[in-house]
Amino acid sequence: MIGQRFQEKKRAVLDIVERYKACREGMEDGVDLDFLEQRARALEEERYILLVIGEVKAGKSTLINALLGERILPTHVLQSSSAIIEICKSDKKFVKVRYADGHEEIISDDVATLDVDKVSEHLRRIAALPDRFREIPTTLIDDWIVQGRIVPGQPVPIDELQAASGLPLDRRENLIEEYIQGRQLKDIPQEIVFGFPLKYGFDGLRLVDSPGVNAVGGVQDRTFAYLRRANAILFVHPLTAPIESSSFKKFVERTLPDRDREVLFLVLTKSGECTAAEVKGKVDGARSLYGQWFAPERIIPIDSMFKVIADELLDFDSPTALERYYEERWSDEDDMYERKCDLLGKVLNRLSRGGADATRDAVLRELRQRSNFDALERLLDEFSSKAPELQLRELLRTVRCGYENRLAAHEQNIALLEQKKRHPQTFDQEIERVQQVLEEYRRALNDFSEKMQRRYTGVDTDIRKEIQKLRDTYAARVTRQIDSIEEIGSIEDSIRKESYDFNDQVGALLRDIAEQIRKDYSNKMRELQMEVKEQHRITVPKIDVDGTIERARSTSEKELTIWERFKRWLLKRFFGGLTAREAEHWRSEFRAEMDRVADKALSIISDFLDKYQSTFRAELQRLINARQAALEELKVQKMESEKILQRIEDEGKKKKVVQEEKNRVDEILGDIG
Amino acid sequence: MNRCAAARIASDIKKEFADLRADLGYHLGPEVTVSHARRLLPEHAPKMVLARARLLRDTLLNYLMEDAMAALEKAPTKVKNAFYDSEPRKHITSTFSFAPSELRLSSDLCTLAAGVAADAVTSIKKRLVASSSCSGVVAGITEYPRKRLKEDLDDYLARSEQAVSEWLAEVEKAFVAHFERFCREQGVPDYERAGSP
Repeated sequence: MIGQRFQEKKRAVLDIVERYKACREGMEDGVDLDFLEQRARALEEERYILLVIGEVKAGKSTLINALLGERILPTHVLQSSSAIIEICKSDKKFVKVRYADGHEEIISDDVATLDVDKVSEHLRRIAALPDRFREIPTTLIDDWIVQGRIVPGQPVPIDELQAASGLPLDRRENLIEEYIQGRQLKDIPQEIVFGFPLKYGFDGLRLVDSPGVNAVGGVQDRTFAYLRRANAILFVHPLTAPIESSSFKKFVERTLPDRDREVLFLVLTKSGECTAAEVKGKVDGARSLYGQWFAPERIIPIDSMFKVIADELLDFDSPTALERYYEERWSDEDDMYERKCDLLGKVLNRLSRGGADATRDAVLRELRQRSNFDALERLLDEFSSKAPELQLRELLRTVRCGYENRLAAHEQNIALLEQKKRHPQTFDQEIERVQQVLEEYRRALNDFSEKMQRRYTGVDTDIRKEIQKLRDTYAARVTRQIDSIEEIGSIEDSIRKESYDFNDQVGALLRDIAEQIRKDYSNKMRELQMEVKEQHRITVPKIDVDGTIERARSTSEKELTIWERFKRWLLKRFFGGLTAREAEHWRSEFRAEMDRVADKALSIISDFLDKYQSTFRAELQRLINARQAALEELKVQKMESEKILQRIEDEGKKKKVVQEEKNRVDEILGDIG
Repeated sequence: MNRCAAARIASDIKKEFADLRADLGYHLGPEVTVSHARRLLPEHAPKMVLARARLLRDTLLNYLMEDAMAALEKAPTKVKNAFYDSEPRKHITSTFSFAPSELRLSSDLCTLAAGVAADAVTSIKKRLVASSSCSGVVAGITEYPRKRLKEDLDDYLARSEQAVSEWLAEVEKAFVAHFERFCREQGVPDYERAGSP
C-alpha cells in the first residue's frame, strides 16, 4: 500500500514529540515548543501529490481507479474535462469545484452507493459534452477562454488553435464558434477536488489527474504548475501505441522538469493486450529511448484492468459469478465490460491450461501478478517514504537537541555540586570560569555568523556567480530555441518550459543554500562543542539549527510570496497572447526577466540569512542566559552537605530519564537513515 | 575604526556599474528595436539599479563589520558580544533604503518620429532585398534614435552611480556613528580601538 511505511514512521515520530512535551517540565532546552507543535501539525496534515499525466486514452483514469482500488470516476468524465482533478481521502463523499470565474461549489453526500449518488451525478453534469463537440479541441479552447486568448464574439484564432492542437480544424469554424458562444467562465471547471472514503491508510495521499494531453503534446499552464508541485509524476503511455511515438517523445521533452528526475515514472499500460515477448521488447525499447529521463527500474509495464478486476472479484463469491456479472452489463455503448470479460477469460484459460483449479484465490493471485501492480506500488511506496522523511528527521533532530541540552545541563549541575561538596572554597571561581567559557562560546558563534554573512552576501560570492551562470545558460538556450523554431505555438511551449526550468533551478539553488547554511552551522557548533569539552570539560548548549532554519523560512514567507507572484507575472507576460512582432523581442524580454529573477534570488538569500542569524542569536542568548541563571542560583544557594547529596541524586535520576528518551530518538533516527 | 571599507567599496561600485552597463546594453543590440527598448528600459533599468544598490550595501556592511571587529580585537569578550547584540546591520538596513530615480528618455518630437520611422524601416528591411544604397540610408536613420537612447541610458547610469556612491557614504557614516556611540557607552578606550582616526 502506497505510503504505508511512511505512515508507520510518522506515527512513531509524533509519539516521540508527545513524550518529549510531557517530560519537558518547563525547562529551557533550546526548543521552541510552539514551533515544534506547529511542525508536528504540519507533518500530520502532510499532502503527498501523485500526478498522473498522459495523452488522451492512454489509460490514466483506469490506472487511477486501480491504484485507489475503487472505480472513483467514470472514465469519460475525466477525458472530457479540462480541469485538474484531485482525489483525496475523506470520511464523507464530497466534490468541490472551482470555476474559472473564481466561484466554488461544494456538494457532499452521505450515501455510500457509488453509482447512484448525487456527487457522481454532479460530476457527470459539469463535465458533460455533447457528442458533436468531440471533434474539436474543447479542453484547449476552454484553456484559451480562461487565458483571454479566445473571447466570445471576437474572431477565433483558428490557425493557432490548429497548430497547438494538431487537429485538422478546416470547416469546423462554425462548430468551434457555437461551442465558444455557449461557454462562459462560470461554466468552466478549473479544479475539482473529490473526497472519497478510500481504503488507503495514507491519509495525505492526493492523486491528481491532469487533462488529457492533445495530439501534439500541448500541456496546459495549470498542469505545468502541478508538474512542479507534485511529489511524483507518472507518465502514462499505452503499450498498444508505438513506444517511439513522436508526439509522446515531444510531450516528455517539453514537460519534464530539469531537476528531480528521481520523482519520474514511466508507466506503460495495457500490457494485457500484448504478448509477453511484445511487452519485453517494448519495455527494452522504452528504456533505451527514454533512459536519459527515466531510471530503468522506473519504466514499468502494467495492466490496470487486471487490478480492477482483482478488486472487483473481492465482492464476488467466485470468478464465474463475476464473469456473469460482466456479461450482463456488456453493451454496445460501453466496451469496458467486454474488455474485462476478455481479460478474465484469459486468466481462467491460463489456469485451466496449467491444470490448476480456478479458485477465487488462485484467480486473484494470477490477476495481481498479471497487473504488475505489486511492483508499481512497491516502487511508489519506496519513493513516497523518502521525500517526507526529511520532515521526520528535522522533528527528531529538534527533539534530540532539546534532550542533549537537558543532559548537558544535568551533567554540569552534577559536576558543580560535587565540586561544591568537595571544595566549597573554590566553587565560586569555578562558576565564574564556566560563565566565562559560555561567553567565549557565544563570541565564537557570533564571529562565525559574521563569516557566513561574508560568504553568502555581497558582490563577490559563489552563489552570485552560480546564478549568473544559470542566467547565461538559459539565455543561450532560449536564443537557440527561438532561432530554430518557426511556429509561434512551438516557441510558446519552449519558452514556457525554459521559464519554468530557470525558475526551478534558481529555486533549487536557494533550497541548496538554505541546506548548506544549515550544515555549516551544525558543523561549526559540533566543532566548538568538542573544542570546549576537550579544553574546559564543559558541555555547552546547542542550538536547534533545523528549527531556526525552518523559522527563518516561515518568516521569509513574504519574500517567497513575491517570488510566486513574480513567477505568475512572468508567465502571464509570456502567454498573454503575443504577436509575431512582439515575439521578435522575446530574447530581450526573457533576458530582462532572468536578470530580475537573479536579483530577487540574491535578495531572498540576504533576507533569509538576516532572519536566520537574528533568530539564531536570540536563541543562543536565551539558552546561555538560562544556563547563567542556573549557575548564579547554585552560587548563591547555601546548601548543607546532605542537601547537596540529595540534589546530586535528583539530577542523576533526571539525567537517566532524559538519556533513555534520547536513545529512543537516536534509534528511530537510525531507522530512518 | 580603520576606514578601509570606503576604498574597497569604491572599486566595487565602479565594477558593478560597468557590469550593469553591459547587462542593460544587451537591450540596445541590433536585434532589439528602439521602440521595444524604449518600453522596456524605463521599467527595467531602475529595478536593476535598486538591486545593485542593495547588493553593494550588503558588501559595504561586510567590510564595515570587519573593520569594527578588528578595532575591537583587544576588547573583552563581553564587549564584543555586546557589539553583536547591538545589531549594527539591522540598525542600518532598517534605516536606509535606496530609491532609484526614474529613467527619462529624450522625447522630443524629432527623436520620436525618427524612432517610429526607424522601426517601420526595420520591419520592411527584413522583407526586402535592399540595394546597398538603400541599406546605407536605413542604417543612418535607425542609428540616430538608438544612439540617443544609449546616451540617455549612459547618462542615467552615471547619475545612478553617483547617487549610489553618495547613499553608501551615508550608510558608512551612520555605521561609524553607531560604532563610536557603542564604544563610548561601553567605555572602550580610544587607544584600544586599532586604527581609530
